[in-house]
Amino acid sequence: MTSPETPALNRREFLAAGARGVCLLGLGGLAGGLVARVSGDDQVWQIDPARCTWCGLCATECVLEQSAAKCLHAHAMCGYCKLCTGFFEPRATDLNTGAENQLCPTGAIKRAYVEDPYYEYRVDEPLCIGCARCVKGCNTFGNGSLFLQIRHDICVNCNECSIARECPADAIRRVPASEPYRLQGEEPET
Amino acid sequence: MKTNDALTRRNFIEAGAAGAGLVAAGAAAGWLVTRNRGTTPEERPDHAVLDYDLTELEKVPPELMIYNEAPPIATGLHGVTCVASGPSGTLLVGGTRAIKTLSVNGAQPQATDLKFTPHDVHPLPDGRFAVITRKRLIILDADGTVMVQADVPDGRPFLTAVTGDDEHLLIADAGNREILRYGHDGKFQMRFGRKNSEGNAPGFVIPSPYFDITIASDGLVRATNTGRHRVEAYTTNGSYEFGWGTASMAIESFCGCCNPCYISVLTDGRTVTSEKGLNRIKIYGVDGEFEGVVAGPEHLVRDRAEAERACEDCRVGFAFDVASDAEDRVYALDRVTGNLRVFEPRGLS
Repeated sequence: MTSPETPALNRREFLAAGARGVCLLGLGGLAGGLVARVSGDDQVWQIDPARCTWCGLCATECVLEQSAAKCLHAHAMCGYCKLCTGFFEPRATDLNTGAENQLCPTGAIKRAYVEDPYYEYRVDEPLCIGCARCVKGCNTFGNGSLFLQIRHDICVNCNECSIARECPADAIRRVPASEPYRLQGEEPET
Repeated sequence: MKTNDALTRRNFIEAGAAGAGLVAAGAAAGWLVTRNRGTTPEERPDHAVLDYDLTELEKVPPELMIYNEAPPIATGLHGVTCVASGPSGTLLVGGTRAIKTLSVNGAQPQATDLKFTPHDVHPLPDGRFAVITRKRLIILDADGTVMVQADVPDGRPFLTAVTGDDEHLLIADAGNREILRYGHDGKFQMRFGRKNSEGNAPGFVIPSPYFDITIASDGLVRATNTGRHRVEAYTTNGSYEFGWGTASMAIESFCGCCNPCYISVLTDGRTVTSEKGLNRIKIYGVDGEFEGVVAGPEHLVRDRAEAERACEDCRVGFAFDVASDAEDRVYALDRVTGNLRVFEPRGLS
């Protein structure tokens, strides 16, 4: 039985109210989803430097135009070498910053003199395409202070990472979003 | 003439909001599609161009080879760590909690069990052994009984090599980048190798835990200044005498961050060097001029991945420790097989 004080809800008003409700519900769901993404229980893709074989596929297999995999540098591990095999081409004609001597195809590693015989190397990440040439050079001759990581401000966190699908060493795995990086040189001393 | 219904303010705002919403939704969809559309093969970098290829550098021109490989000697040890020339033509090999004395003439090997794994070993004239671990010098009698233990006085030591003469023991400390001198009684005497403008010493640059020393027949200590890609000579009192070596990937130079990793001195004073990265064992003359190659990467490393798995220090590369004998044979310690690889001068075999 309808109360005489309550006006009857016509079909149009019912549909409008329903649509508003659905929109609000959607907004709530979206907000909830965003909160869930940053709450720490979510997972993100990351490269394990201990498994990485520096194959170069990170540069070519990412769905982004420029890969989300970037070279990072653990300065505490670096030997600050004059002949840095992560910086110089194997057949470099001279140990200077001439383009023909540089290993990085985009010139993303910057070399600066510190004192004899030490040089500092910094990665200009926006230029880095994640090709891992420097990482392979560093690991082949040095201690691996140059290493690849997926940058989460760039990664779109695909459900199935296309680099992980192709990675021959199974080095790219889901890790907790609360601990999104696997950095070199952080292991406790044994 | 019939006219349209008047557009009320409410209807106008509703229509405008709906339109803006549609535009925003379209923009968001476009952004998502653009970000996730994937790159075409043409848009991706050429993988071959990005390769880091050392294949050509791993080949040694045949005319530079001055040694032949002979059948290896099985050490029978697990986790081999070091090799040194022993008394009476023997070789000392260290491994997991053991030292083994091997005879190149095929005599029965003698094993000495230890409670620790040696980083390096050196025979003393009286039959005892000087052995180092990461932080400690230990002097053992011939049965392996510990006679003396001596800690490095201070700093953050990482001991990598021990050698000596009739009076002194000298120890390479990669952690402190110094050479430490002890007496045969295990008492610390002095340290040297820091940058020294008065003595013209360049200072040791040791980026990784490879720092080898040996004493040549001229009585001078030869040390690998790996970060400078040089071999340097010092008196046992720490006076810098001379050095040689250049840095490049070329066969006559030393490559990588830190080479040569190991050295040995032949009977006539020439130096045998062993490198990591591009595993090369080479011979240099008394004044440091390049003479030739004992073994190159293609001879030494048949499966690099397997070699790296077998090496506990593979994060800083792996190299072959070397020793030599009175006939200038070169012995290279193969961590993969646990064998001593034997190389003989051409003309000897």
